[in-house]
Amino acid sequence: MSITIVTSDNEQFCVEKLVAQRIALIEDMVENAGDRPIPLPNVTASVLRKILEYCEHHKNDPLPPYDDGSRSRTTHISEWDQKFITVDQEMLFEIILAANYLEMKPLLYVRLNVPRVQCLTACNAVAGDIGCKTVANMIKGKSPEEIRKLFNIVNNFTPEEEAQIRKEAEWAEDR
Amino acid sequence: MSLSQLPNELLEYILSFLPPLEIAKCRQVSHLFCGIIEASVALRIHIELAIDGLVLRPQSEMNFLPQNLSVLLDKAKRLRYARDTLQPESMWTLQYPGDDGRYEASSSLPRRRFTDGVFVWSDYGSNSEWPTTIRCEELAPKSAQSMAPSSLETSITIRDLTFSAPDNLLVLLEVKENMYRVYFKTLSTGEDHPKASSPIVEDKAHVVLPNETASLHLRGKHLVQCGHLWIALDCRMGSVRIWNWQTSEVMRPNACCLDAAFISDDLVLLFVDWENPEDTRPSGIGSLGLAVFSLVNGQITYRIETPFPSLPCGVIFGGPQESQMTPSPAKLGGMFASDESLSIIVIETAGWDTWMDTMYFVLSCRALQQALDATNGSQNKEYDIYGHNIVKWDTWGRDGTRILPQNMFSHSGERSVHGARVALRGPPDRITTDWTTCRGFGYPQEVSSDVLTVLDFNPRPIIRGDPLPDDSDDWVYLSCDKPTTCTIFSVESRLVDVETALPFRAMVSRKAWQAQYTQLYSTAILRQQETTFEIMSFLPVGVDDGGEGFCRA
Repeated sequence: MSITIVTSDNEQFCVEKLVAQRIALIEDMVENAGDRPIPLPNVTASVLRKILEYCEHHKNDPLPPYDDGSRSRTTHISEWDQKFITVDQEMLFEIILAANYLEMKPLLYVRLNVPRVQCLTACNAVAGDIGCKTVANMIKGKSPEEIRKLFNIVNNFTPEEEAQIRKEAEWAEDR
Repeated sequence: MSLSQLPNELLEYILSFLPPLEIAKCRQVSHLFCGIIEASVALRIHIELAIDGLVLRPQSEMNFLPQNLSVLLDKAKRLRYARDTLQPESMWTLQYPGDDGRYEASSSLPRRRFTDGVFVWSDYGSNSEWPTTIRCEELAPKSAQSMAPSSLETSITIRDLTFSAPDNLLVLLEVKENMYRVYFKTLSTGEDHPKASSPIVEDKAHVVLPNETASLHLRGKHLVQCGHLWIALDCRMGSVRIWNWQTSEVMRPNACCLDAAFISDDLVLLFVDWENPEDTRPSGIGSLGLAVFSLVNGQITYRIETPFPSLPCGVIFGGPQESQMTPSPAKLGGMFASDESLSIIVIETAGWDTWMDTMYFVLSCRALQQALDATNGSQNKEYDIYGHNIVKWDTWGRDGTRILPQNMFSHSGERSVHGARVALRGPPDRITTDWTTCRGFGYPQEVSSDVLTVLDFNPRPIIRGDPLPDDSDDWVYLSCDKPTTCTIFSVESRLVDVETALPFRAMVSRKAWQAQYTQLYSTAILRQQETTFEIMSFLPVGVDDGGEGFCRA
């Protein structure tokens, strides 16, 4: 059984139901939509293709253990995922955003009535998490200036503010 | 699409994957990053726990008080400096008593205190020799403003010292053979304060031995402004002296004092060592009482009550082999958190060489304050001494279900602990108290002032939480099984250093998650509001929690 999804740029995707079930938003909509195609006005075709690729690969994975917050948050990323997420920054952020929008998490937790904001952090093995971890890994070990350069962020501190914040951060630096 | 365009919650989530120091560093990237980190309770806790790793805390607990990030980082800087420079080998902990800017360090070393930017101590460990030099260190060495000379010579023998931070005053207590005197010095210059010093308090009835404890308490922030500060001089096995700064009047209640606390500008509490005439045991282990001093219409009035009218001695009883017990009067002690924001007064009496038996009395400062505020004399109020101030006071009943929680300390087996209750009745000038007692066994440490620190914030219901998975690196988690109380526990008993502290983070059990973790911390930080949740404290590392599953095996 398959489901039809229409992206914001009007491309249609035929998706296996098992795959689509990995996506909470779609699962929710399937119940109401019946046979009609499911519109995803916030997701472009190129991003959805990427996300479906992820779902397809992980469709038979067992549900990850429920993360009640008592586990170390790891930034480890598996080999396939690493390859999957090796994309340009633009796509990386699109994936993170789309995964967040689509609430890519095992539906089990939704059924357990775990509040959604917790679901976001509850599942480590969704595309969005991989994206977030990737960004975190990019930030790690870099100076604030390097981070700005990497992500094209404008330094909008005044020199005074910057001096103040740097002063406050001294304890973390001069070790 | 760029990183800055992601929604804030996603950025926060991304940052949460970073180690605490990296998070702190990211504040420097841009206003956006800075704002997200400072607004995020979860990230701040991340950082705070790393900072706590800076302090070696052998048997201590940390007060989880609200602090903004700047304060937090400033704290970290001072802690690092203190750790690296002052006493690198020592182990000490810090308390943040509230808004008067005064910090206190307690440790196995002699008592030291520091105030904004200055760390002062006076080593008076020896029984017979008291120092004449106070050492001061700048805790923020890079700051341009110098608050204190590095050392301060005095010609008096200092027994205790404290600060009045806003006034930049150093208050010294001199004790010589049979007299006390309080000196005030300006901290930055070492000069005597114009107010000079207190009258000499002579005590011909009690000769004060050099190794007896004398200390002073003051409510520093009101030292000058209010004018009617009282300084309580107390001396174990001696008599209490209370000095009124404004009138130079000295009060002498008829009891021995263990400890004192200023509850408000016009109310002083003293826990007293009540000398029971029927008690034949050695002095120092007499009954305990509560002395309430109040200033009504400019008149100091006081009253002393004993919680144990019917108990023999009333301090410590029981234990497996009572005949072998050796009372150790020096270990009688009180511990106060005398700022209303901490809401707790504790007196702990313990000290048997052969068996550790501890008794706690806990009273909520805030409850007392509320009693003072209550003007309806006919209305009886009761205060939950373990529920702190999270329960609406007018909803408490006499049924004891909240007031006397079973398994208050969650000790298992025979190490049972009973609850305690204090009920306050009446308008401020006629407060009456009802006492019940609690008693605990089994704290493994030797009782010392450090343990007092540990104990004083422990008396609270411990709620069973989900144990940590064995493969977890985490050392702290939070458990909560109902929307009124929650507790943070550490599960590592080892000491930590900066490096190993890095991966530490707050862990939240499933139940706490379901109780809306974020809201919980938010409300803890906005403590002045009527809160549903309140974070009490950390369980001190290494303390046996009674096998309730909090600690990793």
